[in-house]
Amino acid sequence: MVYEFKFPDVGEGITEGTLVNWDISVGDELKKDQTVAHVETDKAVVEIPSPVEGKVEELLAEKGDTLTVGNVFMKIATQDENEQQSQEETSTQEQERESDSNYEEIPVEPNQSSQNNSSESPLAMPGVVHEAKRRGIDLNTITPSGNHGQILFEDLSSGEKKETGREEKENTISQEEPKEQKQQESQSTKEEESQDLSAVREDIIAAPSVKKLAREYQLDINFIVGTGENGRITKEDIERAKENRDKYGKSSQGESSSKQEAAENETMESQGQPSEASSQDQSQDLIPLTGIRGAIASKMQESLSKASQVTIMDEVDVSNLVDLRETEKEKLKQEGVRLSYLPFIIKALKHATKKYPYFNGRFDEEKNAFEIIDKIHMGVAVDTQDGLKVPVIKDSQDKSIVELAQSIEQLASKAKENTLSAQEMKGSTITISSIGSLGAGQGFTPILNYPEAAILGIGRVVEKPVCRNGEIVVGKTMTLSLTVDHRVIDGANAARFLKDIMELLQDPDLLLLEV
Amino acid sequence: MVVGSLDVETDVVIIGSGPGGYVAAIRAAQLGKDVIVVEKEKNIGGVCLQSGCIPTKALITSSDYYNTLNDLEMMGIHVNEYSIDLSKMTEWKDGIVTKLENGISGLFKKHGIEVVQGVASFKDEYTLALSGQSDVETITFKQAIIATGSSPIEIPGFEFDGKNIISSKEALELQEVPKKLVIVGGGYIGTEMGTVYGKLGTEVHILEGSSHLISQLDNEIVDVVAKTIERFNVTCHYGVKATKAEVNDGGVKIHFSSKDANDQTIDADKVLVVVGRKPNTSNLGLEEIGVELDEKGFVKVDSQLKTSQKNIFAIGDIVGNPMLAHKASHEGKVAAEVVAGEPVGFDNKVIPSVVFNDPELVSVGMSESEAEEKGYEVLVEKFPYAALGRAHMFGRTEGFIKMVADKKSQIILGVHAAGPHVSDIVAEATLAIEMGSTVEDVSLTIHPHPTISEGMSEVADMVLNKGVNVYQPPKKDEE
Repeated sequence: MVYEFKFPDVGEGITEGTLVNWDISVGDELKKDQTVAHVETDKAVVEIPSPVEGKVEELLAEKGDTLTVGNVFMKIATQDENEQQSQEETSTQEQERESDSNYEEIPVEPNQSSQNNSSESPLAMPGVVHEAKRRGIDLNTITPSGNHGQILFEDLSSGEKKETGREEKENTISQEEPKEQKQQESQSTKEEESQDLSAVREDIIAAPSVKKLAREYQLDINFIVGTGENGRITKEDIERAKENRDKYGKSSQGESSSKQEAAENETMESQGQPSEASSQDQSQDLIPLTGIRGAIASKMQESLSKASQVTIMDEVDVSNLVDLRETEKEKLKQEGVRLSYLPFIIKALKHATKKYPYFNGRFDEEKNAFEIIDKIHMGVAVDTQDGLKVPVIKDSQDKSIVELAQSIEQLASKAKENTLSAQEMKGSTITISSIGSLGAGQGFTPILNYPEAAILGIGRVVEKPVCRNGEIVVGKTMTLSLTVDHRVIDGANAARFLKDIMELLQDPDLLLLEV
Repeated sequence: MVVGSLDVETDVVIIGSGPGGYVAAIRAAQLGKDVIVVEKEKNIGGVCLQSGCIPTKALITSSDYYNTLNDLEMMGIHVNEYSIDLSKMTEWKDGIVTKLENGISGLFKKHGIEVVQGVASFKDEYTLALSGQSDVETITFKQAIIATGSSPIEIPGFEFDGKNIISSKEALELQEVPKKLVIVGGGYIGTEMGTVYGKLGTEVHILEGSSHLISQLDNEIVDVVAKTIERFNVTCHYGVKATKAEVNDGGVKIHFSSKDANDQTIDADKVLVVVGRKPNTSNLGLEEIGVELDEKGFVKVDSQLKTSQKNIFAIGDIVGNPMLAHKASHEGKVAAEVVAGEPVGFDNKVIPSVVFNDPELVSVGMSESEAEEKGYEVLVEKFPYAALGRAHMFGRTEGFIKMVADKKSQIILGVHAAGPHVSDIVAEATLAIEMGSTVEDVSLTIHPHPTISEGMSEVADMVLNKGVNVYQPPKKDEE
């Protein structure tokens, strides 16, 4: 049988497009979903996939021709119709048989002839039939969008307001999240292996056969927006999510290996809202929140959703510290240790937490209490190619400036080489985040390394006019940004704590004296 | 694969032939896998077939027929003389078990599934060591499905001797009806077995630690049974703790304490201890091969029943509550399909439970209080059995069908019911919840008359405030 392939609705209200090129020629064997042509629309060049399997029989357009939605533009010789249908249907036959008993057939008018094919009763759940009657809608006039041509609640409203119906549909598409690709897993094992997805949330409304279909397409049903009543997820919703995934999510992980590329895309994505970007603009690539990115995302989200964060910032004249570091740095260089400002700041934090111990510890959600810890396990935020990592300097309180410098160097290089052990990233009680060496940024609002209660942000050291003894001189300043969990620490104490640190950094001899 | 040699190889090995294991075996074989089932007992079928669901329900049915003879008088049937031959009843029950067991064996043969008798333990993640009757010493497999089930929990002071202090298994093998039976534990097995022997004429005492029988079910439906069970010679003692059993010449003396009195005793022929079941996960060598267990001894699995060792699966009682045969069977199908590379998972919303008390109890989905805890504003209605024509034909009208629905969406969240033959409605209720049906969907579906299933549409009507066979005063505050 010959399948007449009509130029499909490519979405976004597009009614026509220009044929850029054919990807196949007459006589080619076609697989289902194989790209047959590239067509340029107002918005982008789109690939047109074949809806059937078969052999290309005739191409009815040439390069540069305008194709109109709904017009036949190629013919495909397919297998015998019955054969093809039966192929498609065998897999769902069983479910169909089961679920058919749940549909109520709408009785046809008794005088309507049963030989008339079109008089076949529409399928719909009894609730839908009832609602249609209530609203005075004739179900025979509705285009069903449900499983096996079942009429759903949403179809009723589309019958009432055809114009707005379409927009609604598009909005829901944009919310669906493309998931990971199938390609990956097929490489991972030679035995066919079925991948697990997360368990279905209790509030998901979907027939068992629909849940199964989602698994078949490797779609996490928990992320699919149902268009049925009460958010019911229909077979259509799953099909649409799959199409969407196939269209936009193709190269999400497997193909983009260059991290730089990913980073570039990250900047691009973060400028616009990603959800809009994926439906209205042709998205180049996706940053899936998996792996390290996923870990960062959930940590940040957890922190901001659980702790009541407040940030206090101030500038401190660190001219003396700069001098001290310069001299110490030279000495240490001979021993092969690179000295940054961090060891001094860690020392200052140690002194301040002695006075204000409740800045150092972890929040215990079960007890709903902050646990003060008498050792300082210092988290140090490190920027790496893969993203932010926070290795921990255990027992910082017992370490000298040199030892701290050595620990920092070791952990930072491990972080960059991706060789940190899980142990080395666990158990911190307070954290430092320094953006000083990056060349921009003074004050900022660090996010707590939850469940800690304090994080100190270190800005860039800059030359600035400062007042000393009533005179304006050129000094070197550093901006400190202290974020605390206001549930545990009030603003006044945050100010006191910061003041102590500032005094110590301003007069670093105090730091060394106490060593 | 050649059985008879010391080492055999297979695609899939399944440990345990209960309702989880045998279903998984057949499904895996259907999908083209070479399957060996290892069973430690002489007979296949597991606890469900050998000493659980099937034999208990057989005895429940026969004891019920016997008991019903008393009621036939009101229907104009005179029954003059009748008596019990327990050994014949047991024979009949064993006959059922044998028939069903042969059924499974036959299916196994047709699917080319080999059964090896022996006790299995993992040597490594691809080898199983066997000890027991069979010549087979090791089985090398690509994937394994563990379906080893559960065993009765033994409590201190009541160590099973199989004669006077017995578990549910021996309670099904009694050769004569005991005069007096004490049952420790008023859960579903305790109440079912209590009713069986009570109906056969035994004086039964149930010692229950909490204030309710079958505490995992909705209290309201259990209350129906708590009342009726007394009619069948069963006395329930609540809030008591059984402390020890002393076997003596005449039988056994059971000591228990309650709030009021410390050491009380009952003399009985036998004491049946049914306080729960524990997963059979020790001695399998699971931890050594990287299969993680939780603190209660259940195997940790994902939604595809995969354990932490990715070629090893676990199903049934060993992966968590509820310990029900139909849950195990469904998990068995899922696991077998995943083994064969199919993209499926255990995605069920609800698992129905039925207790074959007199009357029966069923429960599926959330109870009223569970739904409220989860933040639903609920609609709850009860349709009384007395308004159901069919119930009167059984001569029994106690009980009701209760429906819990979400007020906002009208979606059915749970159905809980007590009444004769009420197990007839539970599959429909389960399908309704699984499909996410609304109360109206059930209300507008025609239910055949006169059946117990009518109760479903009746209670749905009541939730919609349009009950026909029950008077509902018109609601004024309708928005």
